Amino acid sequence: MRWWGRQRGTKIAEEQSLRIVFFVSSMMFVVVTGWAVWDEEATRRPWKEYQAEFNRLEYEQVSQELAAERSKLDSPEARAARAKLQGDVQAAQARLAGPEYAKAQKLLAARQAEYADVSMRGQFIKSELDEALYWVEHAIYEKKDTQGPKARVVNLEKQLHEIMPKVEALGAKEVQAQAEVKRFQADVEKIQVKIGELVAPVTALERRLASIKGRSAEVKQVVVEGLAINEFKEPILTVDRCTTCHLGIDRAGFEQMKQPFRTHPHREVLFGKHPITRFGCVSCHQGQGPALEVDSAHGEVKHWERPLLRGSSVQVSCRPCHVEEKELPLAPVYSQGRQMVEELGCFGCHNLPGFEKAQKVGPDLTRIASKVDPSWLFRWIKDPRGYLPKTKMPNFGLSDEDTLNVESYLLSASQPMPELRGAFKAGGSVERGREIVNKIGCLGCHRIAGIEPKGQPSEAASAVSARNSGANASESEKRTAAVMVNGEQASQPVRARLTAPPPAPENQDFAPDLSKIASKVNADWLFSWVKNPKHFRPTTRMPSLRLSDDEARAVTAFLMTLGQRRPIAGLDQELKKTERIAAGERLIRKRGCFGCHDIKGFETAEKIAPDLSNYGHKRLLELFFGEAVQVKQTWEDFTFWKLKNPQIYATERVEQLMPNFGFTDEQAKTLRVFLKSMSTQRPQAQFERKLSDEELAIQNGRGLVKRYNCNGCHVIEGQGGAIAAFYPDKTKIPPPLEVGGLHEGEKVQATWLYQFLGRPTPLRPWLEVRMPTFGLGIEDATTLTKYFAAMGKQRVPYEYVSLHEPLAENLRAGRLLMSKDYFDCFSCHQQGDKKPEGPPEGWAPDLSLAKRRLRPVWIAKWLKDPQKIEPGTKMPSYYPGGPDDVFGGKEDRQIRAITDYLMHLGER
Amino acid sequence: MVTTREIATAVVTASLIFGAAALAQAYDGGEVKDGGTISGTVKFAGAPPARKTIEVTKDKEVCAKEKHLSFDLVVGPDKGIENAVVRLVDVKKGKKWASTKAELDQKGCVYRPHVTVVPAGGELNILNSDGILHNIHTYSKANPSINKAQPKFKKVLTEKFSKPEVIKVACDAHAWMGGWIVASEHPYIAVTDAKGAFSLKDVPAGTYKVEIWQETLGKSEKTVTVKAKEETKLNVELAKK
Repeated sequence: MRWWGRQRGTKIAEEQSLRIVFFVSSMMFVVVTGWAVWDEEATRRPWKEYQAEFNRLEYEQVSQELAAERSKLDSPEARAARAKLQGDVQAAQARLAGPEYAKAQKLLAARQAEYADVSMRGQFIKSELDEALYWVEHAIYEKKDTQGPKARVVNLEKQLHEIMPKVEALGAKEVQAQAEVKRFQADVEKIQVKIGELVAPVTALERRLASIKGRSAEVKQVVVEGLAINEFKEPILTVDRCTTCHLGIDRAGFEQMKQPFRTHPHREVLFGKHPITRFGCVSCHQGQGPALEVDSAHGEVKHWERPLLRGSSVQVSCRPCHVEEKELPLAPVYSQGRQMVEELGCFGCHNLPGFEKAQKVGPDLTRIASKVDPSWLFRWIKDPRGYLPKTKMPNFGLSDEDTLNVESYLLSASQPMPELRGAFKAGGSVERGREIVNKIGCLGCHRIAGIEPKGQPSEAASAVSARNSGANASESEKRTAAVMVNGEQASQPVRARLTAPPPAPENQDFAPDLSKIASKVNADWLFSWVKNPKHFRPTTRMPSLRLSDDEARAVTAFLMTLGQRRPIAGLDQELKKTERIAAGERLIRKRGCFGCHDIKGFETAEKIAPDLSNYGHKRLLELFFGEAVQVKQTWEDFTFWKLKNPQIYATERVEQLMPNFGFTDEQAKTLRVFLKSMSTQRPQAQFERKLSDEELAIQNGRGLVKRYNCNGCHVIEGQGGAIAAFYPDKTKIPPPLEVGGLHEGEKVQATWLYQFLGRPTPLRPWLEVRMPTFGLGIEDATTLTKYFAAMGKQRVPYEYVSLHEPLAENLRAGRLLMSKDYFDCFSCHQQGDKKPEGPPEGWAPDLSLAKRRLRPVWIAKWLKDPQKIEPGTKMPSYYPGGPDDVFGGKEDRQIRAITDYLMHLGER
Repeated sequence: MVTTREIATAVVTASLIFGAAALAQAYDGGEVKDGGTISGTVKFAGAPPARKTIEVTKDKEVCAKEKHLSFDLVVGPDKGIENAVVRLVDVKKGKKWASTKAELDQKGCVYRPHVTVVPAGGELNILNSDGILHNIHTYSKANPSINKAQPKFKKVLTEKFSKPEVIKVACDAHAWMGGWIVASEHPYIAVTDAKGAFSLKDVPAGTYKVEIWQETLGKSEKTVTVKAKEETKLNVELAKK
């Protein structure tokens, strides 16, 4: 300060020098500028390095390709081809310079001159004619003599008439000469184009290399319009700069490149339908689109609420737009999770969008007292898996007291069914019952210990699937399974249908395992149930197998040999206590048993558990971790552990009511993906994927196929038919419906199928297994009919087969061809009451049904090559090799004749 | 110039050698001098079961002319097993197939013979002497399965089986009909006669594996050493498993 004062003191302001101050500050300014530039360029642009590296890698890759192409071009054959083309060019050019070309040009000049001469003369005559015509009109106007001018007109017209053909002829000649000249030039051009094509790959690659070198670093961005919505539900513009580093994401050829440069694993399918320019990246993957540093761009920084969805959790992003679809081939884990929710009935207690109309998943308990043994019921409520290890009924962890209370309410609220008493009369043959259960089709859904698949189960199953869907099916199923197990969306081809394939017979748990059924139910109930399940519960999936009283008695007698009752002493007295009934009612209300079961007194009860419709967006502060300090404080960990152990967050003060489903880690992770997708945010209408009628028919049909377990017996969409393992004789298995070239909807008339589904009639008398009566309503039967029609590429709704009036000769020929002297069809096929000789095992379907059942187009297709439609069928091929003496051996006419005859069989 | 020629010669020689090697994978048929013979019988161990009578349920006027007995295990008076197949397994070289054709007849609703041997790739003429509807339904893995109708007017069906295989053949119109077609790539294969006897002639000297197969008794394998111009005896007993 003193120095400064001295400076000021000694001189007046104007005379003071600020050189040093000025110099120092300007130097500082220069340094800061330099530092700013350096910082901007070098430290704050990490993406530049990514781009440089990508360019380097791409350059290497393209250079290699170029080298390969060049060496291809250098191969002796390519060289020879090029040399030949070069020779051709030279020859053509020589011709262009040679005397022939000169001659052609000279000829062209001469022709042009000739043509010009004649055509000019023609023009002159035309002009003169115009003039002459004028004079004629003029003469008429002036009222003078018109003879002279008219004669001139006639004369000129004659001349014109003479000269015009000459003009045309010479014109044509000129064109010809011109073509000749052009041909010489075209030769050269054509060959040059060919040479160009030969070296085109190399030039293209060279151009690519040049363009890579010419690239400058730049931020790449996609502006996405309208997909994101702000807090006021208005669509907004968002910016995604992910492609600044993910440079190969939308380009083929970088599948093997390291990240972040790799091609998107589902590029063709996903980007085909979701162009990156319209959907961007963040709409599916989340993260922070505009950011340009790795962590912040991935949103894996503090306070960014939507970090990158890693692994299979990215599948949750499909839901907002694809909410109508139940199965998404590219989102297998999500689809699987959705299916789990549907099967387990989570919507019984939680509000889950999309399941508003779903039926309760557990059995009706309003008449439970007449069905089960109270001692069994006690053990069941306490530990369901003790009786059925695979049941979906969860464990509520009830004490003995609580269990007793719940049971006593259920039994007291149960409506009595006095008509059941004594329904089952003893005397049914156990052996016959076993036989019936073995053969009639129970094993399509139920398992019974002691009745095992004949032979090697896996072999039998694989034989069926190999027969039906070719070798590749099992392989891709394995792959699908692998995808499921890993929970990762691997870059493998994905099957169109991704629901897990129906389980093998040993894992079959669609319907309850009956191995210990006698310890559970009483004989009267069982008898009435197997006779008509709908009588006891109208909404049951269990179909009627149309058992006679005798059969039902035998089946009941057999089933009642499976398992032993284990009565609990004094249980009855305990259950009758009124205080227990009241306590039971309270407990049922609290734990929400009515979410899955119909229970008297709870018809209007509300769902007991939290609404999950926006669960995926729950923030950490909304999640109650209780005292579970071992659980990491993330949404993912919270959800996983809640599913694994629903009691984990319980404390002294906070009860947790959710029962334990015994999920494996894999199941919990799968469900978690589905729960993550639970969001109330909806995209704008134009982004919603609406299903077409046909897609809807297929989706709904698949739902019913699953619901009624048609797959248990029939092969549908190449899957199922596991019941075949119980039949050593492969002619006795239920027919496959939808596999390979076989399409039920293409085969049968829709009206017939509709009626058959409602009321099945035996078609194949040799089968012991019965098509059950499912008691389908109009809606379900229509849905299934539409489904099969859609799968068979038939119109929905189906158009009735219009039958043309057949030619008499066709009917005659058809009858002849089918007779004993020719194809002898009725050697195996029935025709109404006319049965073939021999035992029913050797019979084939009733042909008198064909006209009502089969589509004529299909009959023709079938006759042409039955093995192609259904490999392994007993129906032999008659063609090629039809008789020569009918319609001159013409295959098509013979097949037409048989079809016509079949479609009118029995009419005349 | 000399070098070019040498290279050309070498290339030609090499291709010939490789070609020969490729051929050697399959069976190589030619002339056999001083071959030996394997002969013997296949017998049943234990008390032979009686042949079941088959009830003819259909087309009785044609099929029931004779009494039908099952063909699945036919044991003769000295316990010799008829219709067992005896063949060399790993033979790569030997005599040429004399025939390229075989014949199988359907007569009285029985396949005659019950086991038909056909050269792999050769033609099998299937006759229908019955004049009623039969169908030829084969169950095979190596060759494509066929199921062709052979109605009355079709007297002969000709089929080829290009790969060696034991193929079951059945008629869906007559459930009791069953037979076997054995396609073999070499001629060292024999079907035992009513006494269970067989012989394989002109076998080049050497040690071979011999496979004996019967449809209900399964396969068994023996090793046999054949000496030039000598007859080697091979007697086998098969038992129920």
